[in-house]
Amino acid sequence: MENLKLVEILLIEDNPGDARLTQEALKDGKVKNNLHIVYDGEEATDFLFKRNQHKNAPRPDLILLDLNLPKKNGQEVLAEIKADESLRSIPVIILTISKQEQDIIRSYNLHANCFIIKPIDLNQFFEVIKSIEDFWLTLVKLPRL
Amino acid sequence: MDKQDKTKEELQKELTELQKEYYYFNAIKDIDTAKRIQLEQELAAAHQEIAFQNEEKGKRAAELILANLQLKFETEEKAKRAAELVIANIELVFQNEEKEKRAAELIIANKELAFQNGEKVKRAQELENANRDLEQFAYVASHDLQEPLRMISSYTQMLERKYKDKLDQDANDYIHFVVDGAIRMQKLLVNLLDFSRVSTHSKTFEQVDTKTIAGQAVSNLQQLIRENTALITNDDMPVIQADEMQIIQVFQNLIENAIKFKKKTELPKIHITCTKQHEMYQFSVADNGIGIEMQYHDRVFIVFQRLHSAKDYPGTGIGLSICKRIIERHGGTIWFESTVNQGTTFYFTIPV
Repeated sequence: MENLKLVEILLIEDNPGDARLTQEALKDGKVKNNLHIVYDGEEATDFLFKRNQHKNAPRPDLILLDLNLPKKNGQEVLAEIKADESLRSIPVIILTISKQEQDIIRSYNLHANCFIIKPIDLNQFFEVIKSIEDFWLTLVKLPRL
Repeated sequence: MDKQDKTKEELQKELTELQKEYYYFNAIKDIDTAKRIQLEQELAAAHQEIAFQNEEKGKRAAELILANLQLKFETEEKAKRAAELVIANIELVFQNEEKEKRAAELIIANKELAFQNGEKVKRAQELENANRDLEQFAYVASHDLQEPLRMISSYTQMLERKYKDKLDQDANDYIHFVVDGAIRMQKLLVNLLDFSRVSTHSKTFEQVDTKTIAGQAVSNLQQLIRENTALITNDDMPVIQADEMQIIQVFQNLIENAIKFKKKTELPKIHITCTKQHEMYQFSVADNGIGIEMQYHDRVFIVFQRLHSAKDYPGTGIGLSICKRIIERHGGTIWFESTVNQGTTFYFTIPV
C-alpha cells in the first residue's frame, strides 16, 4: 500500500531549462514521484507554508534547492525550512552551480542535508539525479509524517 | 748854636734811626734770604711738581691720544656694527618675509597634500569599487555565464540522447562539437575565476613549511605522477610567511607543467630546491622536459597564452599566469631558464 503513495519532490529552481532537465532525469528514475517546481524563493516558502496559490500544496518528502534565486535566495529559504519544526526533518539537497567555499560552508551551517554541484555534462547530471534518488528516496529511512 | 745842637741831635737821632733801619734792613735781608731760600726751595718743589705734572700731562695726553684712538676705533666698530645690524635687520626682514612666504607655501602645500590625500582616498575607493566589480565579474563568470553554457551542452546532449537513432553521423558529429566547445568554454570560465580569485579570495599570510606544502602539491598530483612514472625530489626547504593554499597551487602548477611537457623518450624527473639570496628565498623547480624556447619568455605568463596546440598538450594556458599573480602578491618574482630538449627550471622568490 505504501508503495502506491507518490514521493512528493519540491524543486526550487529559477532556470526553466535546468528545471526541465531535472524533470527529465527524475522521469527516467525508478521511484514514482510527483515533482513540483517553483521558480523563486518567495513561491518556495508559499508552497512550504501552504500560502496564497499553494494552499493545497502537499508536504514534500524531498527538497531540491538552488541557491541563486530571485526575491528570496536559497539560503534564506533553507534557513526558514530548518527553523520550522514541522519542516526541518525534510531532507534539503542544495543543487547548484556554485563552487564557492563560503556557499558550501554557509549551507551546511544552515543545516543543509547535502551540497551538490551540478555537473555540466548531461550524463553526469543524470547520474547525480539518479544517486539522489537512490540514496535519499531508497536507501535512507526518513520519519513518516 | 741851638740849631746846631739840634741838628746834631737830630743827626744823632737820624743816625740811630738809620742804624735801626739798617738792622731792620739786615734783619729783613736775613729774613728775606731765608724766605728766598724757602721760596726757592718751594719754587724748585713747584718746578718739580710742574715737571712732574707736565710729565703726567704728557702721559695723560698720550693716554688720551690712545684713548681717543681706542674711542675712534670703537666708534668705527660701533658704526660697523650698526651697519651690520642694519644689514642683519634687512636680512631678518627678508628672512621673515621668506618665512611668511614659506608659511604661505606650506599652507598651499598642505592644501595640495590634503587634496592628494583626498585623491588617494578617492583612488582607494575607486580601486575598492573596481575590486568589487571584479568579484562581481567572477560571480557572473562562475554562475551567470555557466548557466547558459550548461543549457547549450545539456540540451544538445538531450537531442543526442533522445534522437540518436533518428540522426545521421553528421548530426552526431555536430552535436559532439557543440558539446566539446561548451565544455572547453566552461573550463576557461572556471580558470578565469581561479585567476581572479588569487586576489579576491586570498587569505592572510601565516607560517608555512614549504616542504610540507610541496608534499601536499605532490600528493594532489599523485595520479598524474603515477601515470607518468615521474620522479620528484627536493632539498631542504624553509618555513615562510605565505598564503598556504596559494603556494600549494604554485608548486602544483609548476610540477604539473613539468610532467605535462615531458620528453617522450625520458621519464620525467623534477627537482625542487631553495636557496637564500639576500632577503629572499629563491625556490626552483627543475625538470628534464622538452624545454621552452626563450623567445616566448614573456608570453608564458600571460593569461590564456599557449605555446602548444590543445591537441598535443591540453590546457587553457592559465597555470603560469596564476603562479605569477600569486608570487607577485607575496612580493616575489617568477621567471625561468630553459634549454630546448634539455629541460626547464622555474624560479620564484618569496621574501624572508
